[in-house]
Amino acid sequence: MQVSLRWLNEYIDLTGVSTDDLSKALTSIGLEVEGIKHEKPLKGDVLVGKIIAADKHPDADKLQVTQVDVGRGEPLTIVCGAPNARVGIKVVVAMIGSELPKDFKIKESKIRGQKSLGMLCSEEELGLAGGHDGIIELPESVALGTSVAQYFHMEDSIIEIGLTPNRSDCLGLIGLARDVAAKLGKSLKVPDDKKISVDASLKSDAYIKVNIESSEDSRRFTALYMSDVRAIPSPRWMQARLQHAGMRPINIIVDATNYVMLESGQPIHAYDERDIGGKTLNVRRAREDESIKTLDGQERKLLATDIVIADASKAIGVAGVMGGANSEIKGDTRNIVIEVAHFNPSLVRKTSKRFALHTEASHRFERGVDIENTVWVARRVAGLILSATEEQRQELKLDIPTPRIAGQAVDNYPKPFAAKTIELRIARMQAITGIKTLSAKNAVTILEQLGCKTVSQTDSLLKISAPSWRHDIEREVDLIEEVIRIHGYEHIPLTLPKMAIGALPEHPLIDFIDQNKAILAQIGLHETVSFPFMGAQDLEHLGIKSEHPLSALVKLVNPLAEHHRFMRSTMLVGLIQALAQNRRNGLKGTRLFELARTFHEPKSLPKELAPVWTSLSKQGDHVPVKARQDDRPIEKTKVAAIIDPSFLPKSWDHAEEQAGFFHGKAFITQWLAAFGIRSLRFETANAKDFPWLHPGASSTIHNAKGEYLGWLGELHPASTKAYDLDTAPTVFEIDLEIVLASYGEQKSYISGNTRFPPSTRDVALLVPSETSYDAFMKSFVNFDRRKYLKDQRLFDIYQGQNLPQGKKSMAFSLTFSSDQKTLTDADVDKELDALLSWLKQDLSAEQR
Amino acid sequence: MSQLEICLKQIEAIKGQFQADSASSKAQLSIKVVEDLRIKYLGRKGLVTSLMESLKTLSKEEKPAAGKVINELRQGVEAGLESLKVEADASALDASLSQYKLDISLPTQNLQGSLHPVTLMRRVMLTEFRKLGFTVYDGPEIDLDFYNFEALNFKEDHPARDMQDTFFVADRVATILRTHTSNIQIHAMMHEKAPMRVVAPGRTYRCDSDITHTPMFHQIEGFVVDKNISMGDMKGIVDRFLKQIFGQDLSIRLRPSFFPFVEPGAEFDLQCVKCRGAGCRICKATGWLEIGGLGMIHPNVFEKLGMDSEEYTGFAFGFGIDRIAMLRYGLADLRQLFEGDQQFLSQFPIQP
Repeated sequence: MQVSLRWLNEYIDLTGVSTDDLSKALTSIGLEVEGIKHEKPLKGDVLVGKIIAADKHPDADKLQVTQVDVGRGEPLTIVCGAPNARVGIKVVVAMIGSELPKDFKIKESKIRGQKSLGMLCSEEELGLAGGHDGIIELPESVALGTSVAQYFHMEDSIIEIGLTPNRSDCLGLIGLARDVAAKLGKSLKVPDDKKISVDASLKSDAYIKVNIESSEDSRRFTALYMSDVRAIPSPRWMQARLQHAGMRPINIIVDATNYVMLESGQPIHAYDERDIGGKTLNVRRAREDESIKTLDGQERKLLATDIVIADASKAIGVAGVMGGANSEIKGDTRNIVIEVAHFNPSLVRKTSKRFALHTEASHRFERGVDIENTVWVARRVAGLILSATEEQRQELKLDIPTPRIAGQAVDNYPKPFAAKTIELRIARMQAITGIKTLSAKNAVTILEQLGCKTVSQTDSLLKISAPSWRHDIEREVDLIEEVIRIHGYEHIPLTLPKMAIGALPEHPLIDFIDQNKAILAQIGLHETVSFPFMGAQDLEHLGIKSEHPLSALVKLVNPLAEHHRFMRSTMLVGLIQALAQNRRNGLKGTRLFELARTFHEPKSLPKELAPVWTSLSKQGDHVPVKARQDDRPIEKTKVAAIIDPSFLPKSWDHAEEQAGFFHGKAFITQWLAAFGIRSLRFETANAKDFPWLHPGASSTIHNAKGEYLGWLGELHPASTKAYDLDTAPTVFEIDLEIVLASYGEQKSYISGNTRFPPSTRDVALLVPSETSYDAFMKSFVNFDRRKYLKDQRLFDIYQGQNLPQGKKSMAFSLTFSSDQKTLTDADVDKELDALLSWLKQDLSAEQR
Repeated sequence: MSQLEICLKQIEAIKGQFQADSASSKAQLSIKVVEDLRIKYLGRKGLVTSLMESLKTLSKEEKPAAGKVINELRQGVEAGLESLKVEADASALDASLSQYKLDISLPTQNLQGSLHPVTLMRRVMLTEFRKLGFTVYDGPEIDLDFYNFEALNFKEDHPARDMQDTFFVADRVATILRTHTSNIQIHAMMHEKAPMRVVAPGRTYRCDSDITHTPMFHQIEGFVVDKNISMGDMKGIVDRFLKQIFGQDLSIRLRPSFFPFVEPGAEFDLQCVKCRGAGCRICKATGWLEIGGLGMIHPNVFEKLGMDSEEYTGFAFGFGIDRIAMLRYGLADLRQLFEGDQQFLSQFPIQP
């Protein structure tokens, strides 16, 4: 909200209070100052002058050479092109060296050979509303040499306040001034409506009737009749204030309604009396198929949830939002009806939202207006139209009648406001604020300055009734806030809670997350954080069809972009985007991980889930037990990583290194080993479950018990192409909750004798090409005469020349040891022979 | 000259020769030179060894005296050779050390990863809060309106709901992406009994995107509930926490503000971490930085959850982690936090 300092001065005497101090005071009471703008559109001398001579320019038909007296020294020669420039009129003279809005600097110039020592200005050039052709003609009464900025009230300081939605009362300057007055200990000056001269013989109810269909929709409707008005421009001071508040001046009637709205916070509407059919204003719900053209020229279809103001036959305004074009103030308007009403905030909000029509009026009605103040407001508007019309008649020498204000308004107010009495216990106030010295007297002073009434008072208990404009004061704690807000938060002491020691139990996953991040970073991955959104296109790129569980997406109603339409079901999307971005930046060796959540719509999951996807139907552990009983989307905590094939560049001590599946496998094994999870099983992934992975270079990952942890693989060539990547990265995603469960399991550790040195034997074995490493590992485990064999490490795989077709050689380094003795060659040879014959039997392995 | 005299003279001569040989060998001392000397004097046909032959020419009476002198000579030569050998070993080591000289400036390539600045900041915060006796709590990011708004005293159809641009979930009733971590207040209070000291960091969402807003961002919520908790305690905890993070010389200030779930409510500012309150570009010359919001938990919130709002009071606070991380690490562009640019990310450490 923009607050003119000059205007605010009308309601509170700010003499001696600097803008800076005022700004601090406002912020300290919760009316946050977001900026201060010093309006000074004219710089240098822009003065009132008089044309004392005007001659035709010798070399230009449309120009005149004028002599202008500004009351200082010799008259100035100024060339002017305005048709209305003529001898005898008072004009605005921008002197040499002055500056007009939009950086328009006035310099001495020659126009078609004639020297010109300044400029005669139009309204547009001064940045004023009006937009009349030609230069401004000022009344004869203005003294020569008067500062034009002063005359037009152009200079002001505008304070921008970020108002919180609870303070509807501060949407009017009087409310704002009341708060400031309470803080600064000054008195509030409210314009007196008793001084307005009304015509007792003129009766509103002779011209207008008001019917309210439901007091739920409108709790009060005041209509004041006024005759003999003229839609002339409002005085310059009023225009300036409206403009400084960000509103456009229109005519004296509309301007007065806006002016009083900005002053009181109460929206006001003025109707042309002629447009109210049947002399009746009905506040009712819109009918089926009803529509209205609003003041902004838009045809709007109405619903039964909209409140309208209607005459006998049709809607003439959308209540609380915008007036109808069919009843607006026109150039020939003579008699008006001023409407000041209350409308149901929630309904106004619905209507305004549906039309995306957020107006000054709807903003205020949604937040709540002062229902007790409607008559004052109506009279204030009328009084202002009257006094401003008189002012303009004199100033502009207009031949117009004096407007007449009806003595009584029509006031439909079925259930008058009844203030609630709220108790304020002083001890409670002290306990909440922590200020032991805050007394009943302090509280009464502050609350009364804010407009509260003290119903009764003792040292320990106050009974307070809150004013009708403070919808936010409902209970004791609200009064406590008012007292401490004005008293000052700086008086609150710094203490620490006196509580029993001991913390509540913490879910182990929380710290586990941080531990995992640290390990993942230590083994060489960089943590990234991405937006957890995805688009339908990502499913397509990843080959995820509608029957796949990862297509069960949580959909957003209002995404910021179509590629953010859904919550991600795999973290892959953000990682691929990051990889692509890093490649575009020319960076090689991207290896990123993210630890965050994926989201799944359980209603869209297929009935039958493959074992690797069953966890998707189980809510994540981080959702507290009670909330798990709600019908809500599933969230899973995952770790995912992406590894660019260009892994390490060539260096002085090693060749360039390319990364693939096995780099991913190494990262996973190393990471999980840090948590003692060592016996991982990597099993060939079912291509149907992981369409985004290369079928020949992908696996599922299982813990020792065979529980599924996640997947790993090189990105499928089709997905690689779909994302416009040249080469396929290696990617993996693992469910952290299952990792946590595996981490928690009891393990047994060797604690026996390890001091007898081991013996090693290397053997190369010829096996059919399709024999996997895993088959060997199983065979080693199942070797029934195993006694000393402790470890077997694959050190070579060979296939090709010198080997029979369909065969490959796998060479193992075998380690034998005992915790009883140092083994002899005979011990080792005996077991090796047995092993070789077992491998021959089990895998048809021949020693080479 | 007697045989003995001849013999003793020979001994003297060999002794002198050895001294001369020792001295001259030092010019180019090596293990080989020492070995050659050993052979020359102590070898099978060496000078000292052959003296023993000449003993045979001496009389029985002369032999012991000559033998003693020869033995002394032998010991002298052995000792001399030993010290030459030590010297030779030392110079051989010196020579070999000077042979092996690394260019220690050569680089190594490490697989060193990094943590995201928001993670680092989050860890620092959690450490400080745990020291103050807080428990870290977690909850859903996609939540029901009840937890995110209704139970937090956001009335239906009230403009207070416009304070937070909300993402709505399709095909579900009143389901949204949480707009703040304050939903955890409700989740925690539904599960735990007072006294409570809880912090909840997490991802939050608002449909807003510009230079200073991202649709996803990180917040941390904290709250304390017990009997007799005051605004002083609220101010004290937040002050203690921020001093731990940014330095003991900085103070905080509270400004009244409005959040539906607290009353009285406030925003809190910290003296600028850059200029320490003097006024600079970061704080727009005010000396203060806006950090977050806080307030005493609204009795309506307690009552909605069936708690006694007379018996219990409490306070809650919340602020953005991203912004604090930017202040702490001197970062200029919020959006860079979420772009996955490895050149940017890799500069951060693993330990905060």
